[in-house]
Amino acid sequence: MDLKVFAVCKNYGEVEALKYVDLKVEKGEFFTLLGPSGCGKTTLLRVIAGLEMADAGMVMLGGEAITWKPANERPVNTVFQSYALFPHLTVLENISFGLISRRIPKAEAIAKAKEMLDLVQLEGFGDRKPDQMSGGQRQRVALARALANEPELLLLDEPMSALDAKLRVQVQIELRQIQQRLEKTFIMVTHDQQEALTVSDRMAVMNVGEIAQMGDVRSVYDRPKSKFVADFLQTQNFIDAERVSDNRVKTEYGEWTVADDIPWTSGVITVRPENMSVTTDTAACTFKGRVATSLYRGCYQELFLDNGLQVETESVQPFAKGEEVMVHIPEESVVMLND
Amino acid sequence: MTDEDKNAPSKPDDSYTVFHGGLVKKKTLSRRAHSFVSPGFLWSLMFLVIPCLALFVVSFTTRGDYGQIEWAFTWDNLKQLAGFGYFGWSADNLLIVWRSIQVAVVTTFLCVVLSYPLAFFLASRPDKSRTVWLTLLLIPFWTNLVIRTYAWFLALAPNMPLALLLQDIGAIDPGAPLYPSTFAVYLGMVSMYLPFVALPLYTAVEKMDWALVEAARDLYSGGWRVFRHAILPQTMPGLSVGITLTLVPAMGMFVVPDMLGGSRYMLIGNLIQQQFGTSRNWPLGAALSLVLMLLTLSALMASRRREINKVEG
Repeated sequence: MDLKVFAVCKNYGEVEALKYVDLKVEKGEFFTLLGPSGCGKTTLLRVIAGLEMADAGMVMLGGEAITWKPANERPVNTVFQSYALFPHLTVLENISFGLISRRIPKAEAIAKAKEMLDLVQLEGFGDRKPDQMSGGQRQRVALARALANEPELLLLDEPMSALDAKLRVQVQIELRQIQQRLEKTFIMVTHDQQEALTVSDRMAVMNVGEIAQMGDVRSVYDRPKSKFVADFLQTQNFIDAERVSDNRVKTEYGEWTVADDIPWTSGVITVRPENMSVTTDTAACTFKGRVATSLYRGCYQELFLDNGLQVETESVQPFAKGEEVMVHIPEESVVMLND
Repeated sequence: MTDEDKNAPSKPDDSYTVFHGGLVKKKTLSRRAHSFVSPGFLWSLMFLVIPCLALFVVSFTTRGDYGQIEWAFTWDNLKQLAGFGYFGWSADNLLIVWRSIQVAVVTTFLCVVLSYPLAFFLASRPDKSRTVWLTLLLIPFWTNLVIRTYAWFLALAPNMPLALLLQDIGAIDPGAPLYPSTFAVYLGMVSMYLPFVALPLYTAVEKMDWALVEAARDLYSGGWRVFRHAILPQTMPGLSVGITLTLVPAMGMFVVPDMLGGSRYMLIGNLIQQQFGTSRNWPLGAALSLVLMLLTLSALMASRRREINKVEG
C-alpha cells in the first residue's frame, strides 16, 4: 500500500525531532530516508511503525489513517537495527512469532516460517538459537521474521550497520532482489549514501527534522539542490560563482559555460570529482592546476590540486607533485546550489 | 649460532608458567591459590558444615527427662515428626510443614506480583528522584524486624484508620482488631520480603533491552505475550535471585507469623523455636530443622538444575 505522511511533528522536550514532515511513498517502491545521525530519520520511521506517537500531523496507509494506532494494530513490520530477536526462542519460533500472535494455526505458521527461511537462504537453520548464528545470519532472520507477516509496508532501521563492508554489499543486493520479487513497499533508514543509492528507487535526504530534498535517487545524486545535500552526498568541490550571462558563470578559476539555468546573480556551484577529467586537449581545458597530492585507488586516481579542487581521473599513469594538469568539466555536470 | 641467539634469554623450564603476563613458578601459583581459598573454606567448615553435622547427629538422639540430650540413637524423632505421637497418629506436624510451604510460596508470589510494577516504576524515575525512591524502599529494611512488626500492631489495632474503614464497609465487627489473622501474617511477610524481590528485579529491569518489547509489539503481541517473551526472559536472572532470597528464608520465618498470626498460626519455624525453647526437646527440634533444610535445599537444587539445563539446552 502507499504511505502518506502529512505535516508530522515530534518533539522530545526542547528538541524538535521532526518539523512538519511531508512524505509520499508509492506502492511497491523501495524508499530510503538518508541523513546524518540526529536528523530525525529514525524518529520518522518509528512514527510510521507506531513505536512513537506523532505530536501533530497524520500518517495514512493505503487511504486509512493510522496515526493513532499502536504498533501491534498496524499492517507494518520492522527490521530493527539490533535485530531484536528473541534469544530464548529458536529461529523458526522467532520467524513464526508474529503469525502465532495473530492466532494463525501453528502448522500453517511453521510452514510459512520455513518458506521464509528458504527466501533468506537459511534452510536448515530453523532449530538454532539466535546466539548460535553470525551477525549476517541474524540479520536475515530478522528480515524473515518481519516478512513472514506479509506486511503492507516493511520498515528497515539501519539494517546493515552491524555488518562488515563486504557482507553489507552482498546483503544490499539480496535485499533489493527480495524487494523486487515480493513487490512490497520498503522504507529503509540509513546514513550510508552508497547503500541508499544501491537499493532504493527514491530517497529523501533529511536534515535536523526536515526533508532537505526528496526524489529519484539519480536526480538527488546528480542535482543536489542545497549545500547540505551536496555535502552529504560528497560532491566535494564547492565554488563561489557569479552570473555573467544566461549560461556563463565567473569563478576564481575562470569563466565557465554551464548547461543549467542560473537562478542567482552570485551563489555557489558544485562539481563532482568523478565528472571532471584530466585532458591534454587545450581546447577542452576548463581550468589548469598543479597536483598537490595524488591518491592511487586501483581503477582510478584522486588528485588534490593546489587550488583546492579535487579531480578524479581514470588515467593510471602516476602524477608528480607540482605537475601542471589541464582539467575538463562538461558543462552539464556543473550544479547550481540554491542557498 | 648468531650473536642474537646468544643474547636472547633462555626459555624457562617447565616449572614456570606465564600468569597475567608475569613469569611465575607453578608451585608458587598453587600455593597462592590455596592461601586464597582456605580462609573461606575454614569459615564455612567451622560455622556451617560442623554445626549442620551436629544437628544431623542430635536429630537421632533421645530427649532426657530434664530436656538434656541422651546419646541413645533412635528413629523416634523422625516418627514423631511424621505424626506418630504418644496418642497415636495426628496430622498436626505435616499440616504445619504444609502450611509453612504454603505461606512461603504465597508470600513469594505476592512479592513477585507487587515487585514488577514497582521495579518498572523505579527504573523509569529520572536519576535524581530514583535515589529517593530506592531509599524509601530500603528504610523499613534497615529497621529491626520486631520493631517493624510492632508497628503493624499499631496500624492494625482497633479504631485505627484501617480498622475503622473496614468496619464502616462492614468487613469486621466494630472494635475488632485486624490481627491475629492470615491477612496480618501475609501483610507482615510481604512487607518484610518485598525489597528482596524488588531490588534484584529492578536491576534486571534497568538493564532491559526495550527493542525486544518493541519487536514483540511490532509482531502483533498483546500484553501477556509481550511480558512472556520480551520481559520475563530478560528479567529472569533478577527474578530467580529474588525468589531464592524470599522463598528460602520465608520457609523458616517465625517472628512475623508468631506475632501477627497468633498462637494458632503455627509454622515450622515456630515449631522449631518451640522445641529448642520452651519444650526443651533438642532432638525433635534438630530433626525438624533437618526437614526444613532438606525442603529449602531441594527447592534450590530444583531451580539450579533448571538454570543449568537452560544454559546447556
